[in-house]
Amino acid sequence: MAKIIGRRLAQLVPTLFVITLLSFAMMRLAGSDVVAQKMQNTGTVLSAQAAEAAREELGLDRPFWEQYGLWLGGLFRGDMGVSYVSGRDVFAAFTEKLPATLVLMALSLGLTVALSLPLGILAAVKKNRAADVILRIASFLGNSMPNFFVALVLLYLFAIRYPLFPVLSSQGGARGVVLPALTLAIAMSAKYLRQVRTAVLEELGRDYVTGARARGVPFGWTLWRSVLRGCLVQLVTLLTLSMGSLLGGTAIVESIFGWDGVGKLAVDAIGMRDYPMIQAYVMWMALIYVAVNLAADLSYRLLDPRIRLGEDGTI
Amino acid sequence: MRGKMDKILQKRKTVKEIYFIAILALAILVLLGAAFAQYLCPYDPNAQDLALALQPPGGEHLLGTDRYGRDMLSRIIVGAKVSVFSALTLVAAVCAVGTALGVLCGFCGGWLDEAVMRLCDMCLAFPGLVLALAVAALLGGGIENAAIALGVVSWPKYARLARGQTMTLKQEDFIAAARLAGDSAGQLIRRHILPNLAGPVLVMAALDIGTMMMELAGLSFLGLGALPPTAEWGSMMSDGRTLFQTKPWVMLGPGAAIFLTVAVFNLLADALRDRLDIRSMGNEM
Repeated sequence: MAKIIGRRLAQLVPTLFVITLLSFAMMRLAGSDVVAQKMQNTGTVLSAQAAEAAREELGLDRPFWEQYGLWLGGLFRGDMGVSYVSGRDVFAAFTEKLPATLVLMALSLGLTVALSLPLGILAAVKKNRAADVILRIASFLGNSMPNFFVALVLLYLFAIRYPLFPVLSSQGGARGVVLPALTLAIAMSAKYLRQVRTAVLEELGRDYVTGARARGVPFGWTLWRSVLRGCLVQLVTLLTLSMGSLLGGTAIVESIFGWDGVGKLAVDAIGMRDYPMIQAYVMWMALIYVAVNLAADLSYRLLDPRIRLGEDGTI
Repeated sequence: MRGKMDKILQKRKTVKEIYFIAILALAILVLLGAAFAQYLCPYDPNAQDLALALQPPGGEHLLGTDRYGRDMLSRIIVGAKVSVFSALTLVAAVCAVGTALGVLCGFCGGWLDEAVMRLCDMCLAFPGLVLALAVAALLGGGIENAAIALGVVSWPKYARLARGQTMTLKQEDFIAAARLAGDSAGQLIRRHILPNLAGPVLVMAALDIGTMMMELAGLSFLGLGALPPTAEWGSMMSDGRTLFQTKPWVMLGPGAAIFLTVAVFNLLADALRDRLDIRSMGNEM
């Protein structure tokens, strides 16, 4: 196991290189130059000479690779530059907001599993009966609605019509997180429900299920003990796949509900062309994504003995 | 007994066929509606009349008016053109590029395969919408830029699918037979490989139309897509956002339009999958 983890970590090196390089290059491509940007933001005009001196001081006159090296070095020390707009340290501003986003993501993932797993199993067991048809229609509807639409409808219903939850999530304490988490969970559950149903149906069609039934093993026992276990790997794959859209989705949902996380930070930064902040956002989201993928990959091995005991390192 | 079963099966098949044609017709209707949008709207979608601002639905203006007194229904109809065609163009382009690269990779292998697949990995290292946000931030607003941003993150899906399919097809006997019969590489790809992978690719593309429409609208909603005064559903919803408490129709109209259109294309994708008998796929994203 340790060997496999080591190999997977080694495989990450090129990915990380690309992520950091692209995040860095993005800044350069934006044609933005800290000095010019600062002049623009503060409304001051420096003489060409003074601007040149400032550029030299910041190392902007050096070649691309050297700048990248310096930037990367700073990165390891938690130095990602300062915001063009507020002048605050980007890393500090970012890490301050990150927990709120992680809480939101964890809650919506939890809610998604809590909604789609039992309902998906129900739909599979009651295949083509009323419950299944209703759930499939609900899932289809959920799949066809953009999350910002769902967000606004929820906001209208549960914050304005029936003020159960605060309109601005950041003000409501623990209750504030419910609507944003629900918004993200609805879209994901709609997708999962269908896939859980397919996975369970496939597993139910296997010989061992018939065998267990013939031997008189209660159906519920087979379902929970064996069928669910068989679907686990697929479920983990699905959860990781949706991490990508979840990470992006938080940006829209956070800015609608005013949930004070990194998504809102990024959307605000994009509006103000605060490139260091955008850069930090893109890079960190990519890193989180990579970390989640790695964790999922390793958990397959724990969940599925076939992968664990098969020739290792084929993935 | 046997005859009865056959009859039931036959009937079921006919019902499915009718359903498929109905959905297809509906989708074509949406496309035609979007194509001839300007002839369908009752009012000039961009004509402002502040005296008529924020009229509730009903009466002269069937779906009400927005804060500048523009007719919502006309704006929604014209908005279909932007929303539907930008999503369609995007999916078509991404599907063509991705599939072409995927087939080439699968067919040729070697360094080309390696290079393109690494490029895929790079694009996939970033969560989709996050990279789209970054690209949109780089390029600035505009629906074209939003489409480019989404294109960058969605072609690898097609490349991987096409590559996998091509590699499987290459092992088939009929390809070997065609090769023995003297088909060139180009002929093999054109006559035997492309027709065989068209099904799965088409289903994936059909599924993507709805997704892309929602994501484009999402970017516009954030102000990173269509710019005012272009009528586009996402930005119209964003317009109605602040008025939501008192004048919900400004937001609900375009929202319902997105929902219904996406639903039509999703139904089409499902029906297509059923018809072409393709097992679950396209679950990415």
